Amino acid sequence: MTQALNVELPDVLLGFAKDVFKSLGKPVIIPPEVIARIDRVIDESLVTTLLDVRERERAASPEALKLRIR
Amino acid sequence: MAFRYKLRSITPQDDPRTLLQEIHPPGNSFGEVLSGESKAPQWGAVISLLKYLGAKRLLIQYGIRDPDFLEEHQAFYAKQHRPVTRKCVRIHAFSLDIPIPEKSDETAVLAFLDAAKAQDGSYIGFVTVRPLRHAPVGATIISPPASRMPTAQDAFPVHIAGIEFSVTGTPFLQQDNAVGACAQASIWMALRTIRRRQGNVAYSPAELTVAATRYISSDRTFPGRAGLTVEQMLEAIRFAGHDPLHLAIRNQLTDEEQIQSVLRQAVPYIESGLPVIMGLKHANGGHAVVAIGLQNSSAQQHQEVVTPTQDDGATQITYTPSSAWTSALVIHNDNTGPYQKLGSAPDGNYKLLQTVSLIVPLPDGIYTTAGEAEVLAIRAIVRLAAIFSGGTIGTLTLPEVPFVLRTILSTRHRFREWAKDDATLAPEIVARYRTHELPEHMWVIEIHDKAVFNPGDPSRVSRVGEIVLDASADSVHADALIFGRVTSKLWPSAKASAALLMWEDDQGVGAIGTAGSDFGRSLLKPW
Repeated sequence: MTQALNVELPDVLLGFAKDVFKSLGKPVIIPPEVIARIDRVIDESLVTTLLDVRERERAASPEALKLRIR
Repeated sequence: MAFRYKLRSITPQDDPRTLLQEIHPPGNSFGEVLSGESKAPQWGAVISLLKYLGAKRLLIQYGIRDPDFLEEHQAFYAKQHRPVTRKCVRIHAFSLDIPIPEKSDETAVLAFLDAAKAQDGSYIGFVTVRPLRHAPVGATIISPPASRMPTAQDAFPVHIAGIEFSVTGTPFLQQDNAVGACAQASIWMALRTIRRRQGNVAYSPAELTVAATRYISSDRTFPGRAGLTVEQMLEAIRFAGHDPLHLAIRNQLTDEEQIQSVLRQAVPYIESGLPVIMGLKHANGGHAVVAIGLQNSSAQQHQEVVTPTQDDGATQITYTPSSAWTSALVIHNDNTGPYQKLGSAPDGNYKLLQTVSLIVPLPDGIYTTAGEAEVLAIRAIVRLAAIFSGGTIGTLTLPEVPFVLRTILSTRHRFREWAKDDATLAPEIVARYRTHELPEHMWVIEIHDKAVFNPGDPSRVSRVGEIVLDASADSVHADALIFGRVTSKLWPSAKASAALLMWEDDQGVGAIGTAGSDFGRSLLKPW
């Protein structure tokens, strides 16, 4: 199975990411702008969105809602 | 007043119909009706289950004022010209194999109960027998058979002559269609199962009928033989203090896709210990059953793989939901009996393929659904991948091995207990999981290595991370992520054995790297 995301990570993120593993056990705070950068990548890549899921789960047909259950 | 207890042995040869004739309430003018020919398969199923579970002795208790039947009586039978007793009979089953004295007097019954209490696990459960020939099986709680163990169950105390016994199981009830159809019976079974956990009121089938028809009705309230629509069922559940989630099952292209769609939507709730009321479109009309457990296989049953990212080769992340290992559901079917199987065999009377809707009686304040939680989990996994692979490989690399997502709703207490007892988690991660401020309910999306995932064998460990989300978040507009953890098992090319925990709170996003990446166990009892 191929798992691929063809995106270059910004140097600033790589710097923070390497810090996390340089000193194991020590918390590192990731700045919001770095997280926002990753989230932009995700937003551009995801096909299935929360709205798709809501549409799939909630779109009950009137026929199903009126089905008499006895 | 006649002595109200009777001891009786039960053997595999006992005929359910003879037994039903034997126990009818003395002095009940409806007795001859009860002792007449009952075609109720539910009664036969209940007696077969007691025999299967090793019942040796029955204690028959007369003069029972069963709260549910009292409500039915008040709503319907009390208004009839012909007298119908308001008292039921209750049958308690024991696996205790001791001689029964010829006469069931006070001394014999109390000695038996003392002996039963002294033997752990001898109490199997009880059946309430209504004085109704068309619907003898009232409120019933019996231990489940090992092969059909439910996830939606609870321990219920039972008091007999000053002694407290306990039975762990899922409440069952046959519909009495004069006061409520299978719709009300299913709601009753579901709500009674979660009553203690969610702390809501327990309504009888008659009260549920009144609640369901309060605002939306096309006929008289009683007799309730017309059943309920899904809209009316939702109203009744709402009236009982729950927040019913209604999931539509849309028509898929193939039967297999239809079954996958049902399982994928229902399994996360059932695995979380929540009963799911299933609306079925049967050849005889609409019918409702309650899904209370899973039949998981060691091998993958359905080839379902989900690709939520663009399938262009450059941007692709795929996963398999754990429901792909579910071969059938364990259900309570008020038409046929407790702990039945709902599968995909084409010749079955009731089958997964007939499902048209699912109703989950959620507690108040669960705003994110399981489906939404899965999408949010994928977003979190990509974030984690950026940090983990960025720090250990140097480029953004998505998980290199196929993985499974198992989605469960958990309480913070259960989650912390799991963290405390999981020796494979690094101490820094355990400390953060146990002390971080958490909401009451959380979606825990476990990440498993697909090559070793085996829900048919709970002792098998395959967990390589988890995403923890606030279940009360508005998933579209609010941030739901609380924790995300991954290990190097997802990135064999990272070489170093390490784990990454990321968390998000009002201070921002934090991350911590730790050594070690052993497979962890699942959170098996999330609630």
